[in-house]
Amino acid sequence: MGSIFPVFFFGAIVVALMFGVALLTPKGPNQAVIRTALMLTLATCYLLWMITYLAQLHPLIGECCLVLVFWKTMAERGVSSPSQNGQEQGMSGRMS
Amino acid sequence: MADEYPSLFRSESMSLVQLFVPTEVAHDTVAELGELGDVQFKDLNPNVNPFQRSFVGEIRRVDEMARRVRFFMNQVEKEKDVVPIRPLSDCAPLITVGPRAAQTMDELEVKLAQHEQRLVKMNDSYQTLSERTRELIEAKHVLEGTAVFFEKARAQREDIRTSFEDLSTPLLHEDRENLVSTTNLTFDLEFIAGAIERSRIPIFERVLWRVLRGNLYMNYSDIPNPITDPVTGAEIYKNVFIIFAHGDVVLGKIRKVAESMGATLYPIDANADKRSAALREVVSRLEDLEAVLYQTGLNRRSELVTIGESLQCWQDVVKKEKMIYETLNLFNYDVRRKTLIAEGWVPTRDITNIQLALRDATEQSGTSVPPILHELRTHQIPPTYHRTNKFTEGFQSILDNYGICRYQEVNPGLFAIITFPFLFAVMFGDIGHGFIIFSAAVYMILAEKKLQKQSLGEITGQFFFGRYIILLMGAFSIYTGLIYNDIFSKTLHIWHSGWSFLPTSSVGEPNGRTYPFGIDPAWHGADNALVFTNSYKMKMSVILGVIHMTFALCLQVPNHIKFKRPVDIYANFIPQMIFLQSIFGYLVLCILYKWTVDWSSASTDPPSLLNMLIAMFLQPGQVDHQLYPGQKHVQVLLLLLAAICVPWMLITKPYIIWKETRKIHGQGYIGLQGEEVPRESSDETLEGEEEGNGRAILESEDEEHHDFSEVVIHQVIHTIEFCLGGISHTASYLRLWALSLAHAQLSEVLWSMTIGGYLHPTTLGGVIGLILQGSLWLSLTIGGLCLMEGMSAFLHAVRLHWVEANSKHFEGGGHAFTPLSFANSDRE
Repeated sequence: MGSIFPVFFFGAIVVALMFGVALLTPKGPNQAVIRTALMLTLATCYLLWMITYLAQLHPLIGECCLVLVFWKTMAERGVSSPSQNGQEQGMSGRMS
Repeated sequence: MADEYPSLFRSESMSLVQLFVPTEVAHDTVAELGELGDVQFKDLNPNVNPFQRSFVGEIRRVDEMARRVRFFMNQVEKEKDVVPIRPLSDCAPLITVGPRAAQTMDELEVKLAQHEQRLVKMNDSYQTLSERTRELIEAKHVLEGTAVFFEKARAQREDIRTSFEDLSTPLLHEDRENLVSTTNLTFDLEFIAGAIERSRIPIFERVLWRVLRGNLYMNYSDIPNPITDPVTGAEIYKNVFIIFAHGDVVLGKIRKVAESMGATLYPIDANADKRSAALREVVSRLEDLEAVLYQTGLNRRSELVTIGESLQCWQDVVKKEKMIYETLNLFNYDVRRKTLIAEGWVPTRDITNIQLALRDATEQSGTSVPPILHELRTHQIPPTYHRTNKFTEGFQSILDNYGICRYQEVNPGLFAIITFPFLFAVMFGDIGHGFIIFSAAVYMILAEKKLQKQSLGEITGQFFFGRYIILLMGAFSIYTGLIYNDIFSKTLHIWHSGWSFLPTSSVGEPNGRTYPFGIDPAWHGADNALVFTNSYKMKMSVILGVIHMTFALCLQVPNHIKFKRPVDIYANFIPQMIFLQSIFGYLVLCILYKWTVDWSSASTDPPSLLNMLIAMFLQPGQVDHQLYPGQKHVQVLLLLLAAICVPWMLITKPYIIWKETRKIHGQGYIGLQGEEVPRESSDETLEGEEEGNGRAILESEDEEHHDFSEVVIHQVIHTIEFCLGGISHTASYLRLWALSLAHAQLSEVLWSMTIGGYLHPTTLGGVIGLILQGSLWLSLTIGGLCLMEGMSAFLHAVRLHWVEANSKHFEGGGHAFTPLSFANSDRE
């Protein structure tokens, strides 16, 4: 299983960068714009990555059966696609 | 001055200034300030109608000049061969300030009048000449056309003659002689010839038939070339007609009918020689006329070219002069002292610049009496002025379209620079589509200077105005595309997937890795990919929405501190924050927590968070599937907190205000209602004495009276709005989920419907199919997905900013700063 550590690690880096940007933006008529833009960019990009990473951290298999059927990969590997794909038909992942 | 540099965070601090401008320098001062574009003048004579103002005469004169310039513009535009208009940047500037200004204007006026006179005269003569040419051309055609008729008639007669000489019919000779004499008679019939519009021929014929009861013989033929109407320039097809009839009465009737139908009649002689003589004459006159006409046209054109050289310059000068005099009309004119008094708003930090400009104006006009500027204290609310540049302008205008900020309140436009493209990109995430709009924006920015000069259409102009918004939207779309792992509905496989596919199984098995950046490409093409992306994007939109709303709510605080309203912090902001966080903040935490738990090794089932949230309200204290130990108590506590916040918001503020008013009343103060008489600006004597003491001439006392009942009602509405809004706005952020899913699905469908099946062509037909399908796919990608889908994502992002975020902190109700500026006048 993946680790939750990168979330905190990059979180800390992003926070540090935001502080750095806040302190180091050169003075000038566009200081506020540059500072806000950079800080918000860091925050939003981190958020989106974090959400995506966390969502895939512990795939909900077992009860929720998020099962992958990847015919193309199978075909590429020269394996004839098994015929027992009926078992996934009625499956609907329970969404929380 | 609080800050060293202007910032977009709050609007500029403004000052109300008063200017005393000596009449001699008034014009030049306003011209200089108009170039500077930094002063918004107030109307000091609101009760005076436009015709009674001081500079009506000048305005009328400038209007007359403007009319002439417009006339020239019309003439130049109507000319078929394009007359070159020299752009303003190439013209020698016409200096309308300084001691020689009056003379320049007089000269310009005379020049314009002369040009107009000449042009009108030339137009007139050109028109008369063209009219005569047209008549002659018609006459020529009529002569030629009728000649054909006569010719035909003679040929028939010859026919008849030859048949007479046929010896086989000697017995009827005498009769035939008579017949010939009757045919000879037809030539004695009088006739009328002329030209008429082709479409009217049938009506004309029918009317004549009815009027004359069939006693006529009419013949007509087409004129092959169209005839140009000199007035309208339209091309008309006409027919030549000739009508034979007998008797003056009948002929008179025909003439009348012909005239009423718009036909032109020409005198034609029955004698062939005379006709050909007339034709010769007409042709020679036509040649002469055409030569004259050509000469006149040439003269007119050279006149227009001369006008075209300085037309833009005149237009500019006239427009500026009009603006200057209209501004001067806003000033208070003191006849006795020969000064004009102006009042206006200026950004406080620009006062020095304005004073410099005033000094320049004095020097330029060559007088020694400078205009005097001093600041006034006022209770009026200054206009809102955000100093934007070409980058921030677009973002600011998106937010300004919703409402103008209150003076010096936190400007959401600053944060929209990033949050707007980001929310857009969440809905539009695709590397390919993002790249397309990104490169379009890059092109517009690189060709900025060129595009700025030429006038774009309305829609293209809009895109050009928003080029920096589009740039950021494209950049963020590329990033979200990387996260969604979508490039034109295909996928990138950069890192090791978290799923392994064993040859023996159709089901992917997790292999213990987590895809480090973005969505695992293994999901692409999986049967249950939608199940995963659905859940992922729905949760993502809730998380982003709650964070965005929390952020927007926090923007209240600087406002409350700035306007010194501590009550609002602990009677509005704190309970609102607790309310939002105890319900939706908790939901977000639960979502994040649930993701971090490895449910495969946990002892319990993963709970459904939506059911958990509903159960939190409906059955407090009961938890079906426990997410974490002690969940029951935490949820009850949070529910209680949220419940307490409602009366907190509802009651605190009105109670504090009520207590304060009671305290004030208790100290014996009474409101000054009825004693506040607005100062009348018409009271000139009083005004004259008070000018110096720093009060504004026009001071409307529109301070709000805080009625207690109003405060209560306002607070009740505010509370209800916030509590219901918290729920509906969170739901509203689900549009991020819906639109991003829709976008991904649409691009996938487009791919498989068009290019998908043609990718590996084996035959020539397959290659052609691939090219056709590929171009169809490309045009639909650009037109449908990038433009239409982009537009819809744009509108949804706009809505999220206007409604969901702005309702948390935005007060609005300001009025925009509209300075007198010559540069801005072009945009209108």
